[in-house]
Amino acid sequence: MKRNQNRIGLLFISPSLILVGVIVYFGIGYTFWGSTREWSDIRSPSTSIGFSNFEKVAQDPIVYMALKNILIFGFLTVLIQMILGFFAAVMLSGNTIIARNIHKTFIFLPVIISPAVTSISFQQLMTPDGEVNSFLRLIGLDSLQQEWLADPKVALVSLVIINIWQWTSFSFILYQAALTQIDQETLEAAEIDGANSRQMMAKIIAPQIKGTHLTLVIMGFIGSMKTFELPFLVTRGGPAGSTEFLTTYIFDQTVLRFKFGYGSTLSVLLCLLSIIFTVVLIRNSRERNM
Amino acid sequence: MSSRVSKKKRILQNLVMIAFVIPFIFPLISVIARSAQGEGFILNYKAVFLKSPFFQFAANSLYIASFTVLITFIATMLSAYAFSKINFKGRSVLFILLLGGLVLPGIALVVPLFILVAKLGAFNTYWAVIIPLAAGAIPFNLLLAKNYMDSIQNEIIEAAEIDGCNKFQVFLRIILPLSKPISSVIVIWTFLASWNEFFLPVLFIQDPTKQTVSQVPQYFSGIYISDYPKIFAALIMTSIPTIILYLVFQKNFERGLSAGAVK
Repeated sequence: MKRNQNRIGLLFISPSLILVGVIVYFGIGYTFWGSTREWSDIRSPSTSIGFSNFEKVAQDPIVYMALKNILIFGFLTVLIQMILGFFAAVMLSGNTIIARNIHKTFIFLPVIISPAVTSISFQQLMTPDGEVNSFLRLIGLDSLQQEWLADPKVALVSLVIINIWQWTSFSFILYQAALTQIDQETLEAAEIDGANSRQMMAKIIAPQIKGTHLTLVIMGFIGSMKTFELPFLVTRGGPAGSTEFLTTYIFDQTVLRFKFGYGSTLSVLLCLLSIIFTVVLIRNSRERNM
Repeated sequence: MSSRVSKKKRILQNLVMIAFVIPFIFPLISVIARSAQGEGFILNYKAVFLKSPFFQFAANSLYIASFTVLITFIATMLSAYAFSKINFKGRSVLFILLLGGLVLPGIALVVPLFILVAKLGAFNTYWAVIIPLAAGAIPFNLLLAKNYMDSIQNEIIEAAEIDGCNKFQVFLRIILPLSKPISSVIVIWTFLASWNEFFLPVLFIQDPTKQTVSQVPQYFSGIYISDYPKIFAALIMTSIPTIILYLVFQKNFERGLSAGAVK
């Protein structure tokens, strides 16, 4: 009976195990191996070059630029998205707002539109005479008009804005789910005891949504490291490398220049960063909760 | 609580909310407005339908999405059932191993995928897109499905087994019907992700007749080099199926997104 269970269990998980094993784990193994190799072209066999690719990565200014960009992009997106999502969730949680479902739908829609469509659209809307600048003129904020994508000082912020537009619904939905789990009776009791809404926010609501904050920070930073379509389609990593990400750099090195060894090394870096970041964050939050 | 909010405050809050939502709708409206410029709304959309392979691309994407959903769904549900209800050796280690796929960025696997596809001669085949898509979708869906199945009571399964059902019959007759809510979440989000996928088709599909909808903009940029209204019409047509899907299955979309918070 017991042995039978072992067999059946393994049989049932085998499709998932084979797919994920072959693609993900074989892939990672190969990437690690590939980072110590060099190819002259895809068809000829590779030669071992030891860890010299890692030395090259450590001295590559584009890598540092990409890391800086990811960090700024991740920090700004996560922070602003969390604020906007929380705000929307609180505003739409009571019944003060009319037509709440329509508001919800509009905030949600961007997340289901493909990143490719979003990228091409914003690339046009953000030209100097595009709709974004016209809109700013319309509401009297002429001074905020920018060369959104052509100015190296602004381009990364423009990508942040597009990303926030697309993903705010994620933090909104998560906060909304967390808010509905807060015990209504506790809130009512606090109200009877004379707590005002600011006190209730600080003493009852805020502690209960800590887990949601953490989820959003982890998912947000992992998402930033994975972000590809946005810098690839909107700005091509430019102008002057100001929107280069590790992902766009990997694409450039492997797919466009066939530098498989160096591309693998960059991929190893990206994997390690994602794993380390997730582990550190989860461990930190556990310690603090104990 | 809200009954005590004064009328003035109420109006103010509604105005703030409207101001908040405008930036979210504004780009959508702008894109629709752009698609009516140039030769005009009707001619632009007519060009998308008649002069471009839009329907061909959409059919290709539908093909990819359908098979990705099918493979992902079968693999996910079977393994979620095993991890949730069957006590086998190495269960927790294998579960963590499968979830590990969640953290890793797909683009980090571009070199091995490239070489694997080249070695198998799979360039320009849809399997080069479908298999990696399914492998990428399984870890997250497995987490969702397993968490859901954990809430199915063991007594129901035991009763069925006493009645003579084997494990696979339990899966078909008890687990699958009881898992309908999470099944629709998995199907819908996997479909959406495959339909919207940009990177894998760019890598592996070069044949112009085999392109997918996410390639439509690229296609138009070549032909109508300055005809952006038509590009925008095509972008809208690309998004309409997913928007309709969302409006019909709103609840499932929201549940799928919030399920990320479970763990």
